[in-house]
Amino acid sequence: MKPPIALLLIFLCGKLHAQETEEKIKPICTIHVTTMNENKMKGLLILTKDSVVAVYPGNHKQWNKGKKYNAVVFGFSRIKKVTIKKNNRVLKGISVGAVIGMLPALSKGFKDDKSGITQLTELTVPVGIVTGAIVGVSAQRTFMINGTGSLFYKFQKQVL
Amino acid sequence: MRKICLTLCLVYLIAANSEASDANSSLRLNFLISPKQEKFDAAPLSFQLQAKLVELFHRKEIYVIVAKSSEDMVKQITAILEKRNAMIGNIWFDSHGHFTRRRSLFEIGTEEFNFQSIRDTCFTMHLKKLAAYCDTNTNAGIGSCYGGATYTLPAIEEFPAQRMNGDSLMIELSELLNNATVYGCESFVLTGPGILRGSYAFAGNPWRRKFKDQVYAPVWEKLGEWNCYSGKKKKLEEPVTVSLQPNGKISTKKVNYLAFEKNKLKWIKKMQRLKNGNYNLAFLYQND
Repeated sequence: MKPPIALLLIFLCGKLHAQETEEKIKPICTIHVTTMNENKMKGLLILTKDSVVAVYPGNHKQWNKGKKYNAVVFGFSRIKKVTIKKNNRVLKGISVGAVIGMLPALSKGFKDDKSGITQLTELTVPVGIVTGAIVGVSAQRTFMINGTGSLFYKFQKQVL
Repeated sequence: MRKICLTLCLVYLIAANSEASDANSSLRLNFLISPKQEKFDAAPLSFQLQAKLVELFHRKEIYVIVAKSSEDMVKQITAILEKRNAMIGNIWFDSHGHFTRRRSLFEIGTEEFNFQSIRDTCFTMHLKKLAAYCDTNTNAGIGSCYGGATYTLPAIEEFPAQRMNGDSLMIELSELLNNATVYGCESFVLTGPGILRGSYAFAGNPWRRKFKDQVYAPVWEKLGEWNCYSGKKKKLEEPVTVSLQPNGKISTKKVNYLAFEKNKLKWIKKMQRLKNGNYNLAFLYQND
């Protein structure tokens, strides 16, 4: 009975290992790394582990096209400042803005006279969408690292 | 008296005929080479539009060649030269320069010619065919940014200091084109309006923010400067500012671009504003 169980275990281990390697890496967010020499690199954050961040030196378009660039690894001692921009932030901004713009209509929704509300909604919804988009575009978080480990781990905790 | 007059007339006619035949045998044509675009790109498109417009008015002197490779270019050029029984007077290679590759280069279609690849006889076998139509009176212009750069780019992050080797590229190109005179720019080459009017249109600087970084400092220091390698004298000559005449002839300006007070003041202002962080290092890593 023992040999088949051992074989099964080996087979399962192999399967699990295969799953691990086939796991597709997805960019976490857009990142701007400013080095201690004040040079800047824009890219996609693909990994942050221990004392390093791995950055794909391209944008989402290049990533989706499958352009293969070597990831650039930055140790915390090389990093002065990190700015991150979350994915889909514009879409989120637009949807939140649209919902806020519709609030007047939603709050007065059960009353009979709706003509004034309709006119108001026609104005507030586009304004909400535009404002949401602008807020979404400019939404970013900056972390000062200054080459110190403690600040880098704080950044790691907040990103993950 | 009549005899003297007749002899003089005869001598004049013979001299005129011989001059005409000489001029015919050394008929010189000018070529502007531009790469064929697969995607929309404003710079080569601007060059091609201006060149094609000028070609309409100078049909017998200037030819605009839009080529996808050096083989394609040579095929088109030799066909014209054979048909007109002519030599190359001036040849201008319009191309992008790639700062991220940290070397001087020019491209014909998708082929990159730099100081290393130009020494490869297999790679240059098509370009070499043009040597038969060139001599020491031929002028060749490398119309790419930093195409004749001789400075060393400083080290940046993980990238070591690297020499651009534009002079080597110019020397090799001159040898390839039968000791022609080659011009190459140390700095930016613009393709704005008026490049074929013999003006300073090639000189100047691009407006994008990424160029205003300390990484580009050596390029800014030599704004509007062109190096010239004479295949006849076998030496690099004094830096000049180059322009293209409406007939496609490469000429040098008597006064350099930065000798004008207005240009110099602008240049000083921009040099002072150069700072780190405007250039995205990702471009360097993409070419790594």
